[in-house]
Formats: sequence, structure tokens, C-alpha cells
Amino acid sequence: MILHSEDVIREYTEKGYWGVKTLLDYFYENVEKNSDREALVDPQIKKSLSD
Amino acid sequence: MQESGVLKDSIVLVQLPNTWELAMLYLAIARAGGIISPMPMQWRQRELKYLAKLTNAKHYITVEEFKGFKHIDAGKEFVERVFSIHDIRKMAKSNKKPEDVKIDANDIFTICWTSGTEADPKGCPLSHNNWIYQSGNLVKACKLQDGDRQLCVAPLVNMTAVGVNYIPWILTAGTFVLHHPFYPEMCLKQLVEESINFTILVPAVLNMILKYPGIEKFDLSRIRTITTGSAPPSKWVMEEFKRRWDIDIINIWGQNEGTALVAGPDDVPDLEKRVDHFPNWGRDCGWKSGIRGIETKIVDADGNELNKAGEIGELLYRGPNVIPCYFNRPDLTEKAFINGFFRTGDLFVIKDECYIGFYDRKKDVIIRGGFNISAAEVENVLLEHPKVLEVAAVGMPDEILGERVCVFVVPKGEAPSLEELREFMKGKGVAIYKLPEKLVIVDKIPRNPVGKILKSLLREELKKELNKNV
Repeated sequence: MILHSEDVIREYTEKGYWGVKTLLDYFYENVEKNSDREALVDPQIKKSLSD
Repeated sequence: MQESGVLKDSIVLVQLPNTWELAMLYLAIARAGGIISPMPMQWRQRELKYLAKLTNAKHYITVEEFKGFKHIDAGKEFVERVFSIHDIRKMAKSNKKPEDVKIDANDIFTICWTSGTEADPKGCPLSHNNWIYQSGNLVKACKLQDGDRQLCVAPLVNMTAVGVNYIPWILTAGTFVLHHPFYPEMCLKQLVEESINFTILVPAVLNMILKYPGIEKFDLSRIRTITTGSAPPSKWVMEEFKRRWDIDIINIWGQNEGTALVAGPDDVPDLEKRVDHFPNWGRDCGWKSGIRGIETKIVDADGNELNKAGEIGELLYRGPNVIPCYFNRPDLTEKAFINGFFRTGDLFVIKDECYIGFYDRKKDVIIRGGFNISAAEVENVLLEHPKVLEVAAVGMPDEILGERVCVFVVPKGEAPSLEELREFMKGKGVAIYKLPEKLVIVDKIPRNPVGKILKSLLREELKKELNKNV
């Protein structure tokens, strides 16, 4: 779903503020390059939150 | 997700506490082709019903029950397919490869929610590119580093936690440590034990940490920066964090619409100034953070641009981080933008050529613990109460939460009690945090000649009332 107008997309892409990579691309790159790193830690009171 | 019917552009409502499931659903829903629309845990039937209708969402993911409220049961009333956190865990264990969906960097990634002067929440759609630019600025302004460990204390549902913690986590390939708000002692423990480098905390919590008995036993030296917002931090707090642990405190002004200014050490090096100066990124001041691309104007009530130091006006903001519209509300979008600039509804004072300071809110909202509450929503519900003739809601200053809701009521005959009003609102399915926490009975509500409630007079009256009780 693209909601920004074509003009805005053209302007910010030409100026270099917007690119073609999605957040998923960034995430997969991280998984690839830094597979040894800890990614996510659950809260210490997890059980009381979701069980 | 795909097997459950999530297609390209399906909107999925998610209402979960800060857990790994919530964090990963942002990416999982996007990977399936959908759009996550996260909701605060405090929301009830009233909000869910409105969101389901406005977004036409067919999916809702939540917990069975939380703080006595049965979310799954409520969801079944308004949304076709309801999933529990347990279903999500089961889905996560399946090793099936999802079908490829083409996702563009300009596709919408999230629809978060905000409240303004209107009674209903407003959806703020932001694209991948919006987020990457926005949090890219934060990474620059706060000098985050590759692999930084962050503590996410704010609810992972809107700009605070998503823009300041979550997207920067993806951009820096760091570690995302979750805290469900808010347990002060546990938060301190996590900061130490998880070797946190970066977080965001409200000013009241910063104060609390400094005054915490036995704080010298906690080793906070791994923390490089703590951002804060919602109220200006004190100079003492900034100096003490710097002196004790060499921690930079960074003040942020930001909105769910994507607008933001960050007073980081590069752009506001002077600690004394960092308390109340924001870099006016719209000005070409050779910002050391390297941030470019934002346009700003400070305008008076007639829309004329102001430039002199000391002048106060509304901040207009345009940039690659700003929402394209309020979701499915062209009427509100029309009012919110002028020539491509977003009307922030916040008043700023011009400090000098390059800096501005937050002055006041123009919009009639109460901000309790980081959540906006529309005064109109509270007023509209209470007007239906049989004992209420007239009502006005204002923010009551609060050291911990920033503000709480106070209502002034002109009774219709016998005066209602605060408890009666709260019960009435609960019965209407209004979220608990929006319920009034103070009631002042009055003979009349002050209004201007066209009938608009004079909230500033009421705030003054409330101050007197509160001082009387001290």
C-alpha cells in the first residue's frame, strides 16, 4: 500500500533521502552478517503478561 | 499469517504487551504482505470497534485476558479472525517458507494511532522509507553504534518505542531488550544486567533513578545515552547523569505523525541549552549530526512566518519522515496540512537563528504517561450522563505521568460523584487511562463569545484548587 504521492516519492528519492531497501531487507542482512549476536530479550515478567 | 488469510495490504490489528511476539509481528506481518496496526493494551471495545471499522481489518492478535479484561472475547465482536499469542507461537514454530510478496520501500509498514482534538483515534501510516529516514536521524543525533543494546521501556505501539528503539535496533543490528512498563527496580536491574547502551525514559523516571536509595551500587556506566521527552528534563538531572556515569541525556520532541526534533550532543553541545533548546533542523546551520531534508516554519495565528528571537508561533513541519495522510480520513488530512507542511499544533518560541524551544500545546489534548487523550472524547461521553449539564476536561499536572484527566462539571440537579462518572465511562467501554481522576463541581464553564470553552481559565482554577488542598 503506497500512500505518498508520486511527486513526493520522486522528490525524496532524487534527493537521496528515500531508497529501495525495506526494513525486511535490513533485518535479513543483520541475520546474515551478525548471526552470533543476541537479537531479542523478553521482559523478566513475561509469564504474567501472556499466560 | 498467509494461511490465515493475510494478503498484500491486509491490515492486522495487534494488541499485545511488550513481548518478543509483538516485536517480531512487525516484521512477520510485513513479510506476509500485511500492515501491522498496533494498539495500546489499555484500549477497550470503544477503540477496537472504531479501528476495526475504519481499517476494515479482518485479523486481530491479542492475549486471552489482561488486567481483568477479556481481549479475545471483545475482539470476536468486531473482527472476523481473532488469534491469541499462543496461536502466534505455534505459527512461529512452523518451518514453512512464506510465499514471496513484492514489498516496496514506499509501502506502508505500520499504522500507529494518535489522539488529537477529535474524539476518535487517528491512524498514522508510515512507510519503510519514512521509518528508515526518521530513525536514521535518531541514530545520527544520538550517535548510536553498530550492535548497541537497547532497553525498550515504552509500550511498543507508537513513535516513542518504535521510532526511538525498534527501528534503530534494526538499523544498528543491535540487541532489543524488552521491559513491560513500568517496574522501576526491574528497569534498573535490566539496565545493569543487560549491559544497556541506550534507552528512552520520561523525566520523572530520570529523577527517580538519581534519588533511588543505594543507586551507587548499580553500575550504569555502560549506558552512553538516554533520551527523554514529554516534559523538559532539569539541568540538574542532565548534569548529574553526566557527572556520575558520563551519560548524555537527550531531549526529544516528536509526534506519531513522524515529525521530530532531537537535541543531541552534536547539535546542542551545551548542556545548559539542551534543557530547552531544540535544533531547528529546517534551518541550514551546518548541523554536526549531518541531518538534512527537513523544512520548518514558525507561524502566527494568521499563518505569517515569524523569524525574530522571542516570537512564539506554531511549528509547521515537512520532511521525509512525515505521514502522507491520516488513514482513511481525508477530512482530517485536509485540516492537518498546509502546502505540504504538517501543522504540528505545538507552539515553539524562537530562541535564535538555529534553535527553538517548546512552549505549549495548541491542541486540546491531555498527555497521560505518553498517551494522548482527546479532551473532546472525555467530554462527549460524559455529556450523556444524566447528572451532567456541562463538562470540560483539562490536564492536571502530575509528577510521574505528566498529566492526569480532571473534569469540571456543571451538574443537572444533584451533583455526580467522581466514581459515578468513572463507572459510567467504563460502562461505555472507554479505556481506563482516559477516565477522570479529579472532579471539580462548578456553577458554569467559562466560554468565549462564540461558545468555545476557555481551558486556560480552568487550568488556572485547577491550580488554585490543588494548592488549597496542600
